[in-house]
Amino acid sequence: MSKNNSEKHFSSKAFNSPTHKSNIAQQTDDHSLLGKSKLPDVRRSINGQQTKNSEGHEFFFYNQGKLYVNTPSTSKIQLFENEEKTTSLNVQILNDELLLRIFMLLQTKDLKNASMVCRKWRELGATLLWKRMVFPMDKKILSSMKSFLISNGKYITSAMIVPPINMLTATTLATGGLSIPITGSSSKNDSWSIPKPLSRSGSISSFSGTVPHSPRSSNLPNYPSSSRSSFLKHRPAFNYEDRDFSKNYYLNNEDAAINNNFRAIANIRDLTDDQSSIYSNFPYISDSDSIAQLATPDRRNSAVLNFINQERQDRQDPSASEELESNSYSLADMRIPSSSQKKPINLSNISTAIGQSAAIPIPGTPGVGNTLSTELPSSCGSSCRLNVDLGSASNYSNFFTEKNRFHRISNSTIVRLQQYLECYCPNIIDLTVLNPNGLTNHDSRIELLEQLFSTYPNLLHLNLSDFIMWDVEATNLVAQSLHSLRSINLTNRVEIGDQDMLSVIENCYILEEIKVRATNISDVFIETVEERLFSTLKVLDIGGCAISSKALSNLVKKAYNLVELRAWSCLRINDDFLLSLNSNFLSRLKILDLMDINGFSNDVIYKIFGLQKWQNLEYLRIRAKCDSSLFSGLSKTAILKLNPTSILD
Amino acid sequence: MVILKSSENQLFNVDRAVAEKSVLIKNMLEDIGETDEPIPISNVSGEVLKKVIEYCEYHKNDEGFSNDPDADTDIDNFDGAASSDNIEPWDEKFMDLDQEMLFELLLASNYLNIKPLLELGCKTVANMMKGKSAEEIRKLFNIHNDFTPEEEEQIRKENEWAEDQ
Repeated sequence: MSKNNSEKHFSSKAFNSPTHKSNIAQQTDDHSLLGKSKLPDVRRSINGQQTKNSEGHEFFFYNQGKLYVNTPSTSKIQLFENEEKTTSLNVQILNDELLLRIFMLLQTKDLKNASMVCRKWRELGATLLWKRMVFPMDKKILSSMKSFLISNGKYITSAMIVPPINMLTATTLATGGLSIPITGSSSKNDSWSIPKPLSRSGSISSFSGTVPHSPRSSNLPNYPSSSRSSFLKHRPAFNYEDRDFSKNYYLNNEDAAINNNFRAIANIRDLTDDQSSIYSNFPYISDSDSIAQLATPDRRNSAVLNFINQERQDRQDPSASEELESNSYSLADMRIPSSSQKKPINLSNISTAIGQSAAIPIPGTPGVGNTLSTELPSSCGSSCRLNVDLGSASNYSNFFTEKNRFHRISNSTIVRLQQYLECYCPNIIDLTVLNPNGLTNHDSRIELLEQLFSTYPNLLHLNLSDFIMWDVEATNLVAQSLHSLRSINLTNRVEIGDQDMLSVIENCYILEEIKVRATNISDVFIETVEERLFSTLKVLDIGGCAISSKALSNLVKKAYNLVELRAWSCLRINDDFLLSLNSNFLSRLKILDLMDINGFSNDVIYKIFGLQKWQNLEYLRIRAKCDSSLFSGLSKTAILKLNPTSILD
Repeated sequence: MVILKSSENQLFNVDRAVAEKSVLIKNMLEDIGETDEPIPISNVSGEVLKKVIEYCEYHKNDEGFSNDPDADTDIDNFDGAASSDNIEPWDEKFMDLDQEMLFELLLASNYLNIKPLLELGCKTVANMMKGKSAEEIRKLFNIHNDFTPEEEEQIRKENEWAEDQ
């Protein structure tokens, strides 16, 4: 009995509505997509037979905690039970998604143990263990990371580029991970993996050197719709067959023919530019016929599996196809600002200053990247605190003695960083760049961004809240390179104004999340957001910015997808803004922060939050001269912070 | 009342409110409206479905029992920080099952989209792994070690590398 038949049978018998037919088919499909085990097939076919004779069901009547059973036994159920016994049921019947959910509940230590259980678990565990990696701009540490990156770089989806690591203060989390304080970071899990220098002799040899697909090879960097598809296919999660650990993958045919041992290639110390272009132009290994011929039969099988799996993955991931669609319309609209469009501002005075002392922190801009001291006061309230000083952790005594001195980052360090990222970490979608203190000149900083952005044109999330920008060049680079960007965080960049942001808003046309708290943006910015991003915008943080009620009112009347609006300390806002809040229109709004704003009157507050029903609003922070009775329109579970005195309230 | 039909055609008669703890069934009921026809849960056996219903019965009055189809079930947003040690006594006893049943229940709660039961199941399995070495976990779940000794050593080294304490 085929699956189709049984589906039809259900839908025609049990439900007359045609919409339901597709519903059932959908569910069955979902189910098989999840790779649940062979069992459901058996069940489905037996089930299909049985539905035909509607007599002879076992009948359970379950009510008020009591179970009434009526059991006319049928031979078919017996048959089914026999089938079931032949399938050994253990933890392996869980699909990857469920295993991942379980692994997420484990602490790092337990997760590491779990990842040593078997290959499948290793793959899944690694996607969690090495998801977020810190890349210090220190040549020695970078070199020590190489062999690790060869086997694990593909699991990294978030990267944080940091100054030499002895300038960082980090906190250990309860999970055993490290938390590096980053301005404006609101991620749920701030645990990052930090590389530990290894002695050369103890460095990890590579037994599994996949050469990942370069994030930009075979992609035209400025065409996100074409590049997106190949990028998504190689997402690390779930399709683990293509990274089977026992197989060696080769960098190129020549190497493969000469030497079956990948180690030889992995030990090449320094990549020259030429070499790296070979690396980056080499197509993803499983797409290459010539390599498949050289490989073992197992390898070929896994290539087939890989293909099936990718297809499955594509179907399984609705968000992926959604992204594809949302990208595809955009080609024609794409606007890349020509250099003539750049708004020149006079920087001659400033840049002279940079040349002399680029690493001096701007007052009022907290953040690790902005200081040279290792004695940074940490505001994190975690129980155990650790000053990360990897220089002292190993045999880098030179590094150690230098730790309080100014650390200069050479160009070759940046080149190496870029090469490692491009060669080994193709799946990074989330990038945080802390202020590179050691880069003494503005041009090299911009060059660093240029390198990073051209390596990852498909970046989704960018955090430059600790990256000092002196002119519009940095944000113009974002606008030119990163058209797929979903979120940008520029919190505390006081030097950023409207002219910096306009090109970003106009070119990153699917931005959902903009965090520009404590910057210098004004109404012009809000108006452009309203005009360009009203349909995509979900999160907006403009705390402390001089925004008028009028501009913000117009925005909240148009941005129907808004989930989070933070306007803490936007002192120009008043009743006019409140009056524009419509709970039916802003039906998705979950978080609204209006702390420290004095301009709200009680009757308007009651009109908005008392008379309107805010079903989904979960968190409201506001200053008002009234009690909570005026907020009767909030749901019972919503959190209301009235007149909080501290930001931590 | 709603009638649910398991994979072997066992029928279960349950309160609509109980059945709607499953987002899948809830959506189905919204699509088809009132019906006396049994709803086929073709991927779940009677034995497992019985267990699922027992859970939903007990928790039917829970506050904040998420029925929201828009609720975050996305794996990327799954709250990994959730600790796995705050399990209610009733739930803990309920989850005292043999492994086969436990995993079947996990699959069923995933399929039926009953988030609290899914989380409970994941917590239970995670707790079983806590503090155990790889070998102990293999033994516990009867998993074959398919690493070569060299690979095992390699992974041990990699795990130590980037060790954060």
